[in-house]
Amino acid sequence: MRRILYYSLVDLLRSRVLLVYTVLTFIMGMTMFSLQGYEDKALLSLVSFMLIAIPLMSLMFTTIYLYNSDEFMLMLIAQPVKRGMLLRGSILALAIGLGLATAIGIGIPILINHPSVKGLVITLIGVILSWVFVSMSALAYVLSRDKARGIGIAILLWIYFALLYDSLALTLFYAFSDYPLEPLMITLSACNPIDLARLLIVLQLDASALMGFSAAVFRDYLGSPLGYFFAILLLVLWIVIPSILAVRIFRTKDL
Amino acid sequence: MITLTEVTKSYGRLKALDSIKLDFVAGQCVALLGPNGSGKTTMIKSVLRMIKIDQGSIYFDGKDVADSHMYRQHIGYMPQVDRYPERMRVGELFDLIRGIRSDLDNPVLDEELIEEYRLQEIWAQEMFSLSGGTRQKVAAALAFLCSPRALLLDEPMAGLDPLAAMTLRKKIKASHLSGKLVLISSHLLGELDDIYTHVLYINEGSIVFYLSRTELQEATGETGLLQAVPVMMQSTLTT
Repeated sequence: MRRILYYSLVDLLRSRVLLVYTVLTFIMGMTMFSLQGYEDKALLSLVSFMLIAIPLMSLMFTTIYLYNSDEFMLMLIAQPVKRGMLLRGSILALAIGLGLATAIGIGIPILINHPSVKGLVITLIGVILSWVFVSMSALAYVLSRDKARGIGIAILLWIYFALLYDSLALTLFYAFSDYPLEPLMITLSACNPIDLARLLIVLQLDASALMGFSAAVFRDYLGSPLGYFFAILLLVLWIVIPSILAVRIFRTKDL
Repeated sequence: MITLTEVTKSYGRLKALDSIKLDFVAGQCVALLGPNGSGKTTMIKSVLRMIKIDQGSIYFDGKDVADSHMYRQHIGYMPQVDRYPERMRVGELFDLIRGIRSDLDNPVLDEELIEEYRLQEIWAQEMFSLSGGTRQKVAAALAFLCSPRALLLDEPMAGLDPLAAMTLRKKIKASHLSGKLVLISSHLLGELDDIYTHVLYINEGSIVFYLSRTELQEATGETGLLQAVPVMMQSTLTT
């Protein structure tokens, strides 16, 4: 697996798309800090950008990359290697590649302009978020043979998690505002990695007032170290479970 | 060397392979023929366990291929469609395959095709910049690289220029003469004339005929596949 990981990674790091993405997010980050005098505000804008852009980029890039390497996988499967190892190697290479792109594109502007533990945690959550969506795309890849359909699944996942989910949650809260909703909201958030990442960052920034009702609830529930740990654990599960499922399915799939 | 017993594979209602019973032995060069969608690629892929068969078993050297992936170190495979990571260099691709194999058994490397096709000259080029024919040459060189005992070649000549195709034919001939099993699927019947020892014709997942070169000649009076195969097909249709 070391070899497959190594050669996939070398191939990925030469990818122009990944380079352009890194440079663009880097420029974006730097301009946000230079335009706005208030660093906290700049940080918040960067966070909102990051929560939309990282999932989209990770999903699109990973699915397209995996589908493009279909025939290459076939050739490697003809070698005396285990199938599961092949996909694990590719997922790991993609995770490292996209993680690096995020760390450089988002992390460096933050650490230059706002060197603090906060900044470091935000970068780290960004990297974790990219891993969650790499893992999810791997699952989308094994679930569909057809490239167009697989990319379609990835786009739908993004629309759901990044856009639809919020309005659905809001509708629920309005409809049942007479009842105690806190436990429901925690469960709901656990079902959306973007929401989890947002909560973790909001707690870091002490800006829950800016994020309204739901974040305020979470301050009470997740503000403690234990709650924080719990939220991170959930994010890790979001990385691990889809990957394991993907490798499982890949092992017995017709190629 | 490779044995298939009652191998069946369906895609929904379509039977890609219908209880196929076959035995391939070392030294054979089998021309695997059949119309599009007849199950040629499916058969090759199922030997490599790229697809899971529904019923039956496939044995390599008497061992069920479902038990271990190690039998694949003895097989060289040339896929029908080849595409590689865009930014990977030609040399890196060879290093990768060599690396995978050397972890296992340090095979004798056969670099004849690399030299014949002068692949060293494009060693540093990235895969996406290669033409279809050049990629096919790379695929051929890779299939022969680790001196496998069995070669599964899926449309190996497609896209190769006449000179390169001739080089490959010579290589294939030398391989089966030295006791290797070669399985070639192809639509270019004339291309296989001087190298095949057996011909296997399948259609809709079933074997129509499986004959040796002499048997084919006795039945039709021809050895050229282009002439003999249509005659054979007509006689199987009428009987």
